[in-house]
Amino acid sequence: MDAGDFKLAFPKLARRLGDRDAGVLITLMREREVPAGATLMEDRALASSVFLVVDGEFRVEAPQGDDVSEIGRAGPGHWIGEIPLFCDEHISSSRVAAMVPSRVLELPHAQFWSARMNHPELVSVLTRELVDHMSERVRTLDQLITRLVQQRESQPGPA
Amino acid sequence: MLLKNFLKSQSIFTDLSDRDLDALAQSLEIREYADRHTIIEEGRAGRELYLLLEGQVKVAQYNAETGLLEPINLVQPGELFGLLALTDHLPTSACCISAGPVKVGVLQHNAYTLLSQSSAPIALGFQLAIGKQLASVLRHQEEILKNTSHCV
Repeated sequence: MDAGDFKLAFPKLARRLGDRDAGVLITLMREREVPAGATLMEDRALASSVFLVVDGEFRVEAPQGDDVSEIGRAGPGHWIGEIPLFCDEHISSSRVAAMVPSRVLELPHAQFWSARMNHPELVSVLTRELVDHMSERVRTLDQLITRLVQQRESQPGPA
Repeated sequence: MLLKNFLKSQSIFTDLSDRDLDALAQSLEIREYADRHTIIEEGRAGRELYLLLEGQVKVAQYNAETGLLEPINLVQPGELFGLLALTDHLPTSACCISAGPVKVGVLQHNAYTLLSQSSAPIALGFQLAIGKQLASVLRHQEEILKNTSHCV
């Protein structure tokens, strides 16, 4: 992806970064095609990259035993894998699979952390972008949890 | 224990240098609350960021149907709370109530804004700490969802 395509795909992020850091970020990320049905991130697996969705759609699932429930969707402009980036153990806490043929930009954790030395402003903008994304997600999951708890409480108990 | 040493011992602040930790420690106002004190009311604008230093804080939400407060989380020493409303400028999503006597470090809204929006080195360390705290909250929520959704 070149700078022009990046600006078109992610205008807000490109504006926040500015031309120079947007150019640097493009060199740190690699483009990846994800076929429909393929798993981008496995639950409870070691994760080494964070992803920015270019196009397509992903389903975020919380598997528990044989049950799998959907806890979110991620489309163009969404980030995937930010929890293991910031958690010390770097373990994913959900499964993420492509629903349709999709494309992502992959940023290895190592590139993110090493950019702190040479490009601190870039890492600052990315961190703020990820913080905004996580805040939104905390609110969404909060509502989902409340709904599920209320549903559970309204179910008749065992006879 | 010196506040700086406490900050240094917490995993979310590992990206802050010694000098940054000094500055952060100096900008925190220490407050103590008695048991069952409502530190944050649900549905209000975020004005302050809290770092729990001692004790435990119960996070609870009002049930829309029963009107009763239902606990959803327990904040432990070293964790931040009151963060979400400061980050997204929406009303607070839950109440935070002391569960026993607590001691907190309070960062005022203007200091938070300065640290969370600037690109100065101290700001980056602080922003990474915010990222770590939110990631930890999300991980906790996803675990709750795993345990809740299969029961419904």
